[in-house]
Amino acid sequence: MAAGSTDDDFDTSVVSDAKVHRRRVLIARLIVVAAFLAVWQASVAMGLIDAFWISSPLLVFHEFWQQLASGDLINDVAITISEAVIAFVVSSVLGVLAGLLLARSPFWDEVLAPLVLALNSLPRVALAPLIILWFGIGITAKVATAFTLVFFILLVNTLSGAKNVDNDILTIAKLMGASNRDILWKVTLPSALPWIFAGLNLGLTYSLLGVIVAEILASNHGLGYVIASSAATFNTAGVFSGLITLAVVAWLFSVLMRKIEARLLRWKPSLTSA
Amino acid sequence: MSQNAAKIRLVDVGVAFRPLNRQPVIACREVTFDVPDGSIVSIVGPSGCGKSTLLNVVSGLIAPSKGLAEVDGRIVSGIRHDVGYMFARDGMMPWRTALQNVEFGLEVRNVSNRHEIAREWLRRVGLTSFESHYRHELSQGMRQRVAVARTFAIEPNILLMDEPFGALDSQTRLLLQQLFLEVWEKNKRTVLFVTHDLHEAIFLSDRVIVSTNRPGRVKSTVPVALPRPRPPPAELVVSPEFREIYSRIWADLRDEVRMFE
Repeated sequence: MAAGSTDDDFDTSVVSDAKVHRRRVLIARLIVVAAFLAVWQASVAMGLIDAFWISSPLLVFHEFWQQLASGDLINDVAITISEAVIAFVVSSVLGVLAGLLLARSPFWDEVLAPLVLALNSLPRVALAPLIILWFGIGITAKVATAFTLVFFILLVNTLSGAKNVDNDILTIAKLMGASNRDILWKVTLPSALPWIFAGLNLGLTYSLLGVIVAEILASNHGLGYVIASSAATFNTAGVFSGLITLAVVAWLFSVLMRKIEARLLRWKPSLTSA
Repeated sequence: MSQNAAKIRLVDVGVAFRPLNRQPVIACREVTFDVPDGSIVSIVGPSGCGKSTLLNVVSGLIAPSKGLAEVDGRIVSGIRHDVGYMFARDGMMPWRTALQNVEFGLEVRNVSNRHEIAREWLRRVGLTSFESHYRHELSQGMRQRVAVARTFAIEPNILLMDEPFGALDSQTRLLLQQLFLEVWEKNKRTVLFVTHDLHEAIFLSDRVIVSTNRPGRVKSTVPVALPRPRPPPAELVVSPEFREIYSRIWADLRDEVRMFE
């Protein structure tokens, strides 16, 4: 039965078992990371690998600490995050709207489908040099590079979601007197939400990717710039420090996204029962 | 309100579908019958005889290729917004709670006290403690109860039901048939009901229309002169009146079903 009552005499040890399990996983994970760092550091100390090319955990930490203390890192992270967030929001909103619009017009969907497919198949980071040529090295170029990636992801996902609306629900909604506008906002959009979220998850990763690529190619700020300029001066510790910061940013993004998704899609069985 | 006035009327209705690059399929032809105001009329017939098609014609979801449908003496043209429609699949919106599903129709009609109305209907179908449950948290029977509540909550002018209890196990089906009749007794909306279950047709209806094999035509009309409110199904099925009606319908239907063997 789906009723939500739990009796007091129910055995709840299963719950605490899950807690113990989670703690074990966490400890094992920390051990794996620590072991990796120890082996790396030891290999450098024993002269098995050259710190000039591969750096070492201590050097990376030292570099990271210096960048952090000088305030440069915070500044670069802030720039990269704001570029990525702006790109993500603009591309997602426009991508979802374009998807919903195309879903309402089968004619234009048919006209544009092969063109969208062609653009979507193009490795769009290849457009970055052109975009930099057009928009310079400021924030616009970064947002535009990310936009070319993220917009189409959201467009395609929203469109397939909107086309997959359950026919029974549509029929019932229409017969109950729902207007086209009601159908769009109260049926099509919520029904397409799982597809849209799949697109948003991907889109967030790709907006970071687009921004970083543009920063690496032409910039004087941001994490991409930190990585590229460190590599250009053979500062491998600086490269790793930038990469690790980038990984943390990406991880925080996806955690946040998952939280929002769990909230908005709590009606989905797979998410609520997990 | 006179019991004899026709609420729904079908006149010489024929529907042909023309699938792309294939022969047209005639779902039904020359269908003429009335559904008197405040009564329940069932259509029984072999599968594929165009029963559901007729409901779609009455609701305005499809236009007949021939003939016409009338509701309240006016020809149906375009989708009607005053019908309650139920089918075997519950049609619940999985992103809305049970309560929000019942509220949907009231919401798009801008009914201000929709919350209270929806709650009252959920209470009547016995789902008060499941208001905030989502579709996946409800059994098939509960989902269909939500569908009943949703259908009645908008106080539809007419009810079109396409095997609404067809996907349920037989015990749940009996319970929901009784529940449906209880709710129906209170306001006696006009109902056009499609089923292949003869027990269901007789238990619910004032009149049973037997359809022929495809293309569907009215083969016979059998009046069901059983008392209302109806006695429980268990009592009803053993009564001689019920058996007589059952055998009359079956006699007409048998030849139509047999053609498939």
